[in-house]
Amino acid sequence: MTDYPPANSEIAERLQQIADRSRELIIDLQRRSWAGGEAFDVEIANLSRAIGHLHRAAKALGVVESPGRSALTVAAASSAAFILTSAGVLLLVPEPGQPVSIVMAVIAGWFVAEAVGRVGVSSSWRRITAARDAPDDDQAPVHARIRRIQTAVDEIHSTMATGTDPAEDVRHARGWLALATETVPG
Amino acid sequence: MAVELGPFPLCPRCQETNGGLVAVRHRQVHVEIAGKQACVDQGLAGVIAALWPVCDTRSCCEDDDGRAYVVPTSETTDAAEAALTGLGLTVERTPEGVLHFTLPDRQAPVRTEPDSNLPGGSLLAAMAGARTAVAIAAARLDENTEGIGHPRVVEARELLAGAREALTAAMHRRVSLFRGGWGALRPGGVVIQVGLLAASCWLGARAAGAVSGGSTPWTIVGAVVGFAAIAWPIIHLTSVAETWLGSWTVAWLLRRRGRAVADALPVTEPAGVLAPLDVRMDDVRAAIAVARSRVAALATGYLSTRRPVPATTPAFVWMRDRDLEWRSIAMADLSLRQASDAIRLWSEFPRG
Repeated sequence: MTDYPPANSEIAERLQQIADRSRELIIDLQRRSWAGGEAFDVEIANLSRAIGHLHRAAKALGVVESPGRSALTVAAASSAAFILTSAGVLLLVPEPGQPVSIVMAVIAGWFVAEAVGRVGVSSSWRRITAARDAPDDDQAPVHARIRRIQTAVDEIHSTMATGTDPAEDVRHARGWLALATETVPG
Repeated sequence: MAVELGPFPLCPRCQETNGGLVAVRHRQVHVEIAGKQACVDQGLAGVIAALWPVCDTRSCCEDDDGRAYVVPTSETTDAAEAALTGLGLTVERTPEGVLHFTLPDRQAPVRTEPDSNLPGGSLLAAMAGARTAVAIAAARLDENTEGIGHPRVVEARELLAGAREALTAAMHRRVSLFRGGWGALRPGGVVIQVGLLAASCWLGARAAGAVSGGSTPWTIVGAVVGFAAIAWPIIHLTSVAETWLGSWTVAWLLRRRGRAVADALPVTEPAGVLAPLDVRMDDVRAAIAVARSRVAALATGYLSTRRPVPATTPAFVWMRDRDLEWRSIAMADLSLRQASDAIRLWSEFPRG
């Protein structure tokens, strides 16, 4: 059986996922330092540079960025509320063909959609802050987390055709990640 | 044949153009100013940046038996001597036209830290204080790296500019009449959006109704087209109005609190161009550290206003994705950390 190299879109998606994980690690380190913990300046700076290269490589390979699931759900609920409310108002008014009636229906739909959006965002915030010990709030040592990212990038780099711009970007990202791990004690 | 006079390499460009000389005794910095460029000893980078606009030099050294020297071209020796004297140096001129002088001891330039605090204690005042501190750090970097275009120095400049922009965006959102931190519309935004949507929708419906002879389906289609046509411009218009009104409102609010901040910087002492570059870079990093402490205080203050106060990474990620004020503060912090690290990297880099 022959192992085919992964398609560009798959590589792009994996690079994007690693960039997102790295970004979450940066946010975690930032919040820890604001709470009085270690600064991790060098690690944060090098991770950030690596993310820049990973994003560029993913973009060159055609990654499609999409908002998170929760944002998409809120947007979908809000749009549905708009359409249903506007249609409902048009069905109820005696003269739906009058511009004033249509405008009233659209404005009513807009207000309901806005309210649904606000409720969605606020319930999403309550849900996320209620999870005090979220499982993805990684408690592993920082160096182990950076090395995991490094390993994932190494794996992808080994499957990429050399000499291309995305491969060069991934190579640069590996360099910055190596600098980040060098500085982490333990 | 490669000539190595010491452990410190020249930059790749200068290695190609210096007739085989690839490394020298002192750490090098590539300076480019007034149409001239070369690697020079890091202790003389500031002096050379001051000399090249008025003279040409053929050679220089920061430590030749305890003294520094520059060798100007014969036509520009007088100008070079005058420029060095103008920097406060006592110059000894040899018959060959070599200018010897003693650089001051290695110590950081003495500065009084400008006060970038604002009274009031509000988040807006904290943002303004942080932004001023960033601007001070950026100005200090500029004055200490004149003529230096190393990628890490350029990166640091861009990051400081980015941090300042991020804090400005946070201030605009804080005072916005249109949108709150999480993007939710404020009364001003509701009025603008509803007003424009209604007007566009009505015009679309009227036009379609007139063309179709009063057909209900076509009138509705016209209204939908009018709605769709204005939806995207509204977002853009709100952003433009937010920026424009934001600058004005921020300046007005801060002035009303008794201190005109605007973009004016407190007067700082001139850069110590005679100090070695590594000492001056420590000075720049200290200024960035001040800005970082302001941003950290701002971040802590902002978090304390959130209910419930976020405690986990997913909550912070959520905020970063949806809360523009928070995103701007976090980005400013990130940019400052990176700028400081870029300067550290450049200072530790052995090559010119």
